[in-house]
Amino acid sequence: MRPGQRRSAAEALASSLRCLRRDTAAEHRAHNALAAWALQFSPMVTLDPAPALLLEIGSCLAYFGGLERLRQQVDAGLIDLGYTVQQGCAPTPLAALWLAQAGRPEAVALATLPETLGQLSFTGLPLAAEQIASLRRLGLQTLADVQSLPSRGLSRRLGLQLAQLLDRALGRQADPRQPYQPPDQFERQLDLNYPVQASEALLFAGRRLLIELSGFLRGRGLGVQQVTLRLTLQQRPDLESGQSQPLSAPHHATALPENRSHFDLMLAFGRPTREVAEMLGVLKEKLAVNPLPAPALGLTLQARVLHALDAPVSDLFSNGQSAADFALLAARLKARLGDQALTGIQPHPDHRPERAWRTSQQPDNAPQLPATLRPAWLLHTPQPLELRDARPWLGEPLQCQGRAERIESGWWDGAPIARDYYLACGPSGRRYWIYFDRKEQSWYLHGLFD
Amino acid sequence: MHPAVDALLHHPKIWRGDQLACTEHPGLATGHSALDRELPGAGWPVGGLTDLVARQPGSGELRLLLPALAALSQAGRQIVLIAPPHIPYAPAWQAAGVDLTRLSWLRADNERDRLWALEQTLREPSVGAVVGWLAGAPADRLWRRLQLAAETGGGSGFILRGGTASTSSPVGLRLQVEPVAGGLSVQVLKRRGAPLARPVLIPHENRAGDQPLSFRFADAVASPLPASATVTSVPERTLRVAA
Repeated sequence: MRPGQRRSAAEALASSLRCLRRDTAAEHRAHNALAAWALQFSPMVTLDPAPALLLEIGSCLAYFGGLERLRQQVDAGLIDLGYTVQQGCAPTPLAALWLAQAGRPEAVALATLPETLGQLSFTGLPLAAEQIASLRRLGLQTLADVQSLPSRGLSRRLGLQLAQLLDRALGRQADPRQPYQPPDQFERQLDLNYPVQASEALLFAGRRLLIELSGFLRGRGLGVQQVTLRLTLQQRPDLESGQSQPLSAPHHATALPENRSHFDLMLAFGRPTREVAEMLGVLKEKLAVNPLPAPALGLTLQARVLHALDAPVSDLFSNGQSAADFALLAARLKARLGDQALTGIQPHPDHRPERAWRTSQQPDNAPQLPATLRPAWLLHTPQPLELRDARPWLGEPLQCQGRAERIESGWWDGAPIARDYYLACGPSGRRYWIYFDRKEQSWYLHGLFD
Repeated sequence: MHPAVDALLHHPKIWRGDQLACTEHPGLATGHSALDRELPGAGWPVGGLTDLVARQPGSGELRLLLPALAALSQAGRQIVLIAPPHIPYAPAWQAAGVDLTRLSWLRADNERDRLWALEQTLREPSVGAVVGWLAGAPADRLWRRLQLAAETGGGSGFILRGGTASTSSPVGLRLQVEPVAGGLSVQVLKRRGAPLARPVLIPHENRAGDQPLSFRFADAVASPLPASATVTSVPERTLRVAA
């Protein structure tokens, strides 16, 4: 099969042919996405009009440990993203592009550049068809033939363009390029070939998007703390509307939550990050606890707020364990168990024991309260104690130790208490924090000491 | 003895029946010197698990653990409590010296989530200690997984579980803590080394020194105490008031 063939002719040759319409907008998006991703390798990335990316790598070879290493990383990264790549490497952007189009991956030095380029034919070059035809009429087959001709005569016959192109490719003329400017937000869409509901498959697709995000962030020295993964869901065929009744009845819209066509997953990492493995860990837990209501057809990853992420500062004397790593663990725990599942605790200045503490979401310096006799365990609700032989009883007779701590407080906010607190011991040696409610005239257990 | 032989005998892999096992890492000091003397590495295992049997909450498990947790938090290590049975009461934990900014309380309703969270937190190097409460004794396979996670993370894991002291576990250190009059009794059920016949007794600290002002104020006002309460004064405190 050849390009330019009729569809009917192609189908006659291959009966199982599937024809797809070319989506130039999607191609453009993917091209831009790859440019953003490639910024991690070079600060100077150019979108060539062809589906090519030009990376200026001369200035960053030392950082990546040599040309071979860098090219391997680029190759591996692109394969990870699911693309195939043809590389070319030359001292000038145009020569690199031509070599890549000709499928010649080896790096070429400036000295051997005219010779190497000379072996190329005209087909890959950005020339009009009639120019190529007139070159052929002159009996020229390769660039070497063109180079051997006097350039002035060539320009007169074929226009200035070819001579200029050759000069740029050979580095005799400057070839300035417009560098790619990445956007300030990240949004990437991935369409799935078939509806997917299994979390492993979604994780795989999500990983691809996260790799792109990571490359984008690495190129700009940024990180994200929170991203949204929007899953486009398959509209579930409605059973009732099978009788040619569209979803016009108002009760359908309310009664069927699966008609919602989007499913958003918020991934919070607890601190700015750009590591794929870290982000993937959170996504995995989120997918595990939020089963999809319907199969997904596509994924969109959005990162609206980007954070400056400096290289981690390592301390000579610390062993590399920092609070930042803990924040990431906390994000993973919260992703699976819910945001409220992980909190800190801190004391709160109030005399009422049940209000003398509160949970805190952010670790901050708690007020230092005066040290009083307080139990390490506080019961969620005070437990009423029965009386036996005029003594409070909790599986064993309780004996109060010391004197009472009387707490009367809260008359101003509608939760007044009037209690006498005691440390009480039983014969077993267990120590309890009990109180006598002076309004109800009854005993309660409120805490355990040990 | 020849010094070379002596050095050889102190190799971590060599253990003699009459002594405690040498550990690769020194243990995390428990804060109770009587107990430190009986534990291999002179403290709680670091990069390992401790199986702590307490028949019910408030049996002394916090009294046992708090000194070590306080020291860890002040050294900047994180502490995670997984599914504690009651509220860890912030004023008391603060008074015990725990830096509350390093303390996290994780709620997890079912056992699966608890075990998962235990493994995740034990694996994290910035976490110094994980205290997890489990409803039942986990299977041997899960114990080993947790043990591996603790070795990876290098923190100390404390598993408080239901069940009796007789249920075995593949963990190197198993203790049972019980309250006794005036203190705690810690029975070392299993350790790397010669078995310990007698329990270690940890007396309660004398709290007379930090009685709050309100106590003395209450004394002065001489509030009538409820008739149903039987009150015994602590002798030291009576002395102090008299002085």
